[in-house]
Amino acid sequence: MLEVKKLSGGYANIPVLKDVSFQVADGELVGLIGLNGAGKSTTIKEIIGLLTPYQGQILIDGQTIQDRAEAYRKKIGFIPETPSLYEELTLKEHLEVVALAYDLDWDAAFERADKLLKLFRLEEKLDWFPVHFSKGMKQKVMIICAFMVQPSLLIVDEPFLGLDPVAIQDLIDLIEEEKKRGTSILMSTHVLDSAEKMCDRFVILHQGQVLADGHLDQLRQSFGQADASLNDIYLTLTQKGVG
Amino acid sequence: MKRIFHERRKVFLNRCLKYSRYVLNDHFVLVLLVFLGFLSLQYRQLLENFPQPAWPVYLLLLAVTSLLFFAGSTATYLEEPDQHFLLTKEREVLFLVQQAIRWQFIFWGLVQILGQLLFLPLYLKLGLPAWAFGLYLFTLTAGKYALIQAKWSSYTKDGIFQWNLAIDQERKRQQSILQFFALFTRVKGITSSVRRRSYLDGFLKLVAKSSEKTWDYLYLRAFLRSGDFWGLTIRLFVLSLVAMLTIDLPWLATGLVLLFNYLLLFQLLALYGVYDYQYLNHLYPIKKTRRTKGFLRVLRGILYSVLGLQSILAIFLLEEKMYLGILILGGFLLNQFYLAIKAKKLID
Repeated sequence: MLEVKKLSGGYANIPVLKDVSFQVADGELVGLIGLNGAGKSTTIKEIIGLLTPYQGQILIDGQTIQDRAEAYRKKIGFIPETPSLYEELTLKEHLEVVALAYDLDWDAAFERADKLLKLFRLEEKLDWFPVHFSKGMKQKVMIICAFMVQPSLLIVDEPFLGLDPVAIQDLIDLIEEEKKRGTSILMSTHVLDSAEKMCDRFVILHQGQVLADGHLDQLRQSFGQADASLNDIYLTLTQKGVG
Repeated sequence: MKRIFHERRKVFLNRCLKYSRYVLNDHFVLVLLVFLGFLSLQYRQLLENFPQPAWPVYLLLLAVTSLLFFAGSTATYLEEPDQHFLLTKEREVLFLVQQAIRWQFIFWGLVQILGQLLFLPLYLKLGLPAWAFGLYLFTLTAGKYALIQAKWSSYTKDGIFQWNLAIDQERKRQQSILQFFALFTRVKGITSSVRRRSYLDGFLKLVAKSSEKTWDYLYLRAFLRSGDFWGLTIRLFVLSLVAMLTIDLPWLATGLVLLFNYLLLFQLLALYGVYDYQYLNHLYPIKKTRRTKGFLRVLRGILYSVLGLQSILAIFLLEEKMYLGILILGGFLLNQFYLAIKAKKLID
């Protein structure tokens, strides 16, 4: 379970987030929605510990990063928007580094990895350098690495960019499975129609603040648009926010 | 368009100038002057006591000739984004490349002629008449022209400019110049190319796969595959061997070996930041101190292996065994204490 409480934060001299609070329960998929520059990436960076909050608290299963950094980090699986791969390592070695760094049970971890490799048709490429892969294939490597960890909180930043339609469907299925396992999942995306189908709840960020938070029905009710799509609601909300 | 490339050339040359100040510091100039004096003395002695049979001289001249003949590359100053932004200006770019080719011929042609002139006394001593030497120079220059023209034609294929090829070669050219400076000082913008080098995979087994050694796992692979760490180690090791084999004064040989080991240590410190581009490292549930520990373990592993091999060879090559002790002690002090101090500075 992820709890973000009254979080203000940003970069050294540039405050981005103001009083952001939301939760992601166990087995829940929450969509983090917002325009470019709304603060989605900053929120994610605060959660994974790349940035330190000015104020407020972030808890995963009741633990903060200040309590025990290693235990906190171990709970997170992260699929970044831009794949970040080691230039020096083969695909197999990427998986091994993840297994080493997260101190995973070797056999179990590679059993999971093998399944994922087959699913994404990468099992023949174990000895290749993934930095030379295409964008979509790189993204698949990041996905496999994140799912190998079996995290308590999975953070997915723009997961569908560059993936082929088959891979998108496979990823949707994987996320569904992970949800059933009880993982809290936070997904940042611009692809609103997929988000509408997949997510249990939405957190709409605008100019560093939470503009709305709830199920699609709740959002529809509070904005008096009974049949509106997420897209419609989102446009209305942000226009209101700007005005 | 011309201005852009002119500007790029200026920027690059200024950078080289800036770095050359680090290279040509007082000590190095002194060493260089002494070395030049030593070389010219040797040259004179060679001329006075010309070796019989003369095949080593032929070998030397052959090496010099081929070195001068193949030296030089085209300075096009093309950059990666050009293939996107300047795509419509292909004609102008081609013209500029042609100019660069012309410059390459003039510059490196002159270098070749001047270089060969330095060896004129040797040619004469071997009984080559002056007119034949002139003809030799002319042939070499013509050959260079043909070589450069062949390169020029490789830049276009069916009349289409080969952007990838040209940009790649320019990147390699600049990198090799910068890499030279990197031997003396820290240089920005050096991208290390990664090679698989699967023949080195045997070494990978030396690090146990355990969570505490995640960084050892990473650093060892960077050492074996990234950039020039591996090549540098081999080169300096070979140099230290050459020093032990060829120098009769044991104190000088030992001193040089230690100097090469110091240089090796100094250059390998750059391994610490090799993964700085990978921010996911910060997300791993590993204590920060593990990185330093892993780095030091890997570096000491490399440095002590080199020292160990040198010591074994020194047993056979150094006549006075006292110097073997000095070598081992000096190496130990370097790897244990100097490295610890340097690493601490690096990490802070």
